[in-house]
Amino acid sequence: MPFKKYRTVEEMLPPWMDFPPSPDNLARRIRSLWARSHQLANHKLPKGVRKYRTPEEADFDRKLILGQTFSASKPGREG
Amino acid sequence: MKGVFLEDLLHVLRAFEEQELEYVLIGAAAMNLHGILRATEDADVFIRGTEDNVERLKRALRSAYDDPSIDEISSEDLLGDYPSVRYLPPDTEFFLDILVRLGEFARYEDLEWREVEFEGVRVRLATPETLHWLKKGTVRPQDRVDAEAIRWKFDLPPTND
Repeated sequence: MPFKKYRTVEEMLPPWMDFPPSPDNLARRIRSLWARSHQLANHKLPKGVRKYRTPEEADFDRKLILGQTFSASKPGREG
Repeated sequence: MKGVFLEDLLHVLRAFEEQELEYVLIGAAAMNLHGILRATEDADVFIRGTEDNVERLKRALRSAYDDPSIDEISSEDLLGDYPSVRYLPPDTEFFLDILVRLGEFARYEDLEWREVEFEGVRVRLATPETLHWLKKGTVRPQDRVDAEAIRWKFDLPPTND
């Protein structure tokens, strides 16, 4: 397995880790990352208001609307 | 994963500022504003659980979006049996998770936050300590990963669990 050498710990960090913090670049970097992830998405979200009694209900419904799981029944309620 | 445009987030946070909503931005959007960049599909906010504040929330959302479904948000629900509301606005693939309480674990009054200016918007941003506390106490595996990233970046003490 090849080795890769670094002079500082900062060089070892993944590119998404903003260290040391650079406030001037932050908005530009967030804008770029989020726009790119938006382009990768390929499904449409439902619209409107959905209500939940528990965090578990909200988490389950998040997976449903993001297409991360499938279920015949839906937790919580709409509107 | 659905992505969010930064402009979607700023649009709604500006409306919150204009309506003087008592809220705290938490979750992945807050992590990004603290410099830990990752993609996210939503913005999570805690709001103070009062009838007046829920009305401010509705006014803010109405000013941001022309959407009659906003009327379905009610203080009766948020302060009662449905303390969590997800709002998916029209004409965008962004959504908001609005919390008055997180189970019996956390509510607005438990959160530490500070106001920061970001892209011309005053944002009520959860502190790293509060973000870490919330992330390590919630249900999603991704939250555990986020908690560790926050702990590492801000040199917070290790968790015992």
